[in-house]
Amino acid sequence: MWFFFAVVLILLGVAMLYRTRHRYPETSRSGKDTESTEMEVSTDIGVPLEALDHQKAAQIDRLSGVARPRARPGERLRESHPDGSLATRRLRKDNLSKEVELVWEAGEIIELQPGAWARLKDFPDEPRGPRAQAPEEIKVQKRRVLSPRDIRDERYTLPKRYGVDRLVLLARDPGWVYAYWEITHEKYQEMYQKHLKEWGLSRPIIRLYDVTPGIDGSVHVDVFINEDADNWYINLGKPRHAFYAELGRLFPEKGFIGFLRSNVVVLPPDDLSDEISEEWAPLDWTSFYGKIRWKLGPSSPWM
Amino acid sequence: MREVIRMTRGFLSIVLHAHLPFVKHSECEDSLEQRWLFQAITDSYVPLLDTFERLAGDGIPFRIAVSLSPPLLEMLTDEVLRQRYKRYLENLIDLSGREKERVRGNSRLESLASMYHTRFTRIYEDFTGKYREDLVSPWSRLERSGRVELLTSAATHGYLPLLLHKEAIGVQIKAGARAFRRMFNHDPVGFWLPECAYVPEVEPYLSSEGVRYFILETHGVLYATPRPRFGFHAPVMTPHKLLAFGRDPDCSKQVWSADEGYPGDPRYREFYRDIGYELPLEYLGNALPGNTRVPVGIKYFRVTDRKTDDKDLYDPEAARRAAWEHAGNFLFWRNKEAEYWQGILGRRPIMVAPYDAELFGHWWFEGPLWLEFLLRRMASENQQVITITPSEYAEYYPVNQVSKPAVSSWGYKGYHEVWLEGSNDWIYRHLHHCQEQMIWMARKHKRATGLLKRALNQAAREILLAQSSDWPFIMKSGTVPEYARNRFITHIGRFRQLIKEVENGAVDPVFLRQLETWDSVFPDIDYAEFAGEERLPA
Repeated sequence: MWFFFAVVLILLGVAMLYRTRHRYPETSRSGKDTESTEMEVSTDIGVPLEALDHQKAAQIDRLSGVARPRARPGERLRESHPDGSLATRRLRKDNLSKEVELVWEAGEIIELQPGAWARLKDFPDEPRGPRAQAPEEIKVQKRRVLSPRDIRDERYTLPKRYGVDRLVLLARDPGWVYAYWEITHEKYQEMYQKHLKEWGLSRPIIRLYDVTPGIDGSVHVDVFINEDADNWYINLGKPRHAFYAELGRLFPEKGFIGFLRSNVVVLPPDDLSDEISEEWAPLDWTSFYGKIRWKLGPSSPWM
Repeated sequence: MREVIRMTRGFLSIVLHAHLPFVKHSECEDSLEQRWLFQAITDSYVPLLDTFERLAGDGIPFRIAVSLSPPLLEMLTDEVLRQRYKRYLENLIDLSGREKERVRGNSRLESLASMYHTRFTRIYEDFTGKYREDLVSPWSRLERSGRVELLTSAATHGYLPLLLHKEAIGVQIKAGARAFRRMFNHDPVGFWLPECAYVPEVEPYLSSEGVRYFILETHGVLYATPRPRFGFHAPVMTPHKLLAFGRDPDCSKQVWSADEGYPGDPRYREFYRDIGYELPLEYLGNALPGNTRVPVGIKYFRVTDRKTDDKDLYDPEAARRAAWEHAGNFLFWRNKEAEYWQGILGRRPIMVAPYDAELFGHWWFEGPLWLEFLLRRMASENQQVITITPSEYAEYYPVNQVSKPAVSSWGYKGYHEVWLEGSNDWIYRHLHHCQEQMIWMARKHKRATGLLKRALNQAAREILLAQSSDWPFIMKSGTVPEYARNRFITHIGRFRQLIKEVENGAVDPVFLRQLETWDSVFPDIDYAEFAGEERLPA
């Protein structure tokens, strides 16, 4: 009887462990609804979709083990392929480099297409050469934009991308930063060509470096992001610390390779300063401070 | 002054911040958004002016700081909007006249209807007669009388911490200060940071514009480095020799907490029960913009009980008594606060009470009355607290602790989350990109003339209008998110169109002229400031 209970307990434990591994408490996608907007929002990590020959791109992606198919313009990204060819499996731990292993320990899950290793080995030369562009396709898709001659003719839409490589960090509060980015087609292609063999096994990440004065600059935090994301909220929980970020990919063997580098942000403080000026030593208001702390923050009644 | 101060234990500094986004719609005689301005004039700006003038006329020795945001000043001086405001009021007077007929027989409603009729007629007479359609000069007169100290704000109320480029922060501050000088002929001594949002990057620009102080949320001062000796009851001196005053949490809570604040008292007028929602469309006629139901400002009910929709009729006398009591209550607590903290600090504490000006009159109908009672009671009774402006405080206590304020804002949760979250974060990539283009264009075309100069100046105006903190705020609050989205996209679109024309060397003068009339803010704008190559105090 006790043996039966023990088995049930162990099973429960395993189930809970499995659940916690699937949680990503540190990061969250922005909850914005891109469907209802007039504005166009990019759906990939900075490759202009119209610049791709989709058949060829899909073929190359499959060969090189890119786990998710690229969406065509106006098409939603599907989670899995209808024929099940994108069914995923867990990577074995002993396949991983040291760096990925650490992430693995931290509970991130790395998934990939079956057989990607083998295929790469079998057809090493296949996906060479520049990615084919389709000039006719661009021509068709490019809308003719007339200059508004009159204010009543104005029809503005915001561009998906500006053709600039850019990673920007904004400090939101003492805990969180917001990152947004754009990678140009050229830059993406260059990195893709350079690291072709391992591309399919690599994952996009944002690496944040703590550059607070007095702190070793090598301290960093890695955040796994979605392949098709162009912005991310990151919980650093380090008030008064300074950070900059690099957007790049984590490769199984080469480790982290950065594509873009951001500005430096300083997270705001969330508590009293420990620095005390002798000349202006704080008076006994700090004991009172605990009582008023809950009042700090909100403002207008209609906010 | 010093004689009076010797008798007191502390200072109260009330700061009213009046702001609305630039909502002039040339194409549309009567739009919903333009009515924000007209309602604020009728409910808040004229009643507040009236209150302060009456107090000054009675020789009440009060001091108050008032911030008038640059887009608000631009709208108050706009000829088209003034004419439209008069027509708006005429419609309202007509409606309130018809209301008197409609409710004839019901004596309580009748007296309320004629209260509104008298009120609107008087405001119309003041606006056209006493003020000669100019709501800016009266503030200037009050300032000269020594009662009011005027502050300016960022050009279009941009949310400075999220603008990314220091050049963009600089232009917001410089254009705001210049608009202030154009209106009032002197340097702004105080600067209202939009949403009290502070980052250290604002300081060199404020200091080079002659600004001497700004207001922060409480923890902006409390979390300063090093830790402030006097808490939030005294300002800190920033490294650029500006004074940063922290908001007093009790002053805010008592006045505008949704749960315990004075405006929720059952005797006050209920904001949401408006005849604009309740009477037939054809009856309301021109008092509505088209066939859209909006509040018209005639409200017959009192708060009664916040949990029920079954409201009692409004009783102006009871509301007046409530305002008197609440003024007394506020004063009681300020005296207590001053007494307590003077003992601890060994220096007279300052209690800084910043509010949105539109709270007084528009949201809280009896707000101006409360303010009047408060100031009168402070003058007449033997009080331990007197009102003071931040710059008078600086004269009285010229030596203050040097400390770096904390990045903060008065928005929900105290930082930038209101203006940077799921509903509005998408705007920043566009805003920052266009800012960068503007900076680049300003450096490329250093001394443009003629059409090119006009196009670049207009592009700078469009960028400023897109930066307004109101757009992300409205997207987040969900009141009219489509409007905010459209405004943002339109200003970015116009900017991009102008830059494209400049790049192609083909500026369309007709289109440019139209934009200049429509987005007619800041006639004296200088695009070259985006180059950000001036020398700043280190």
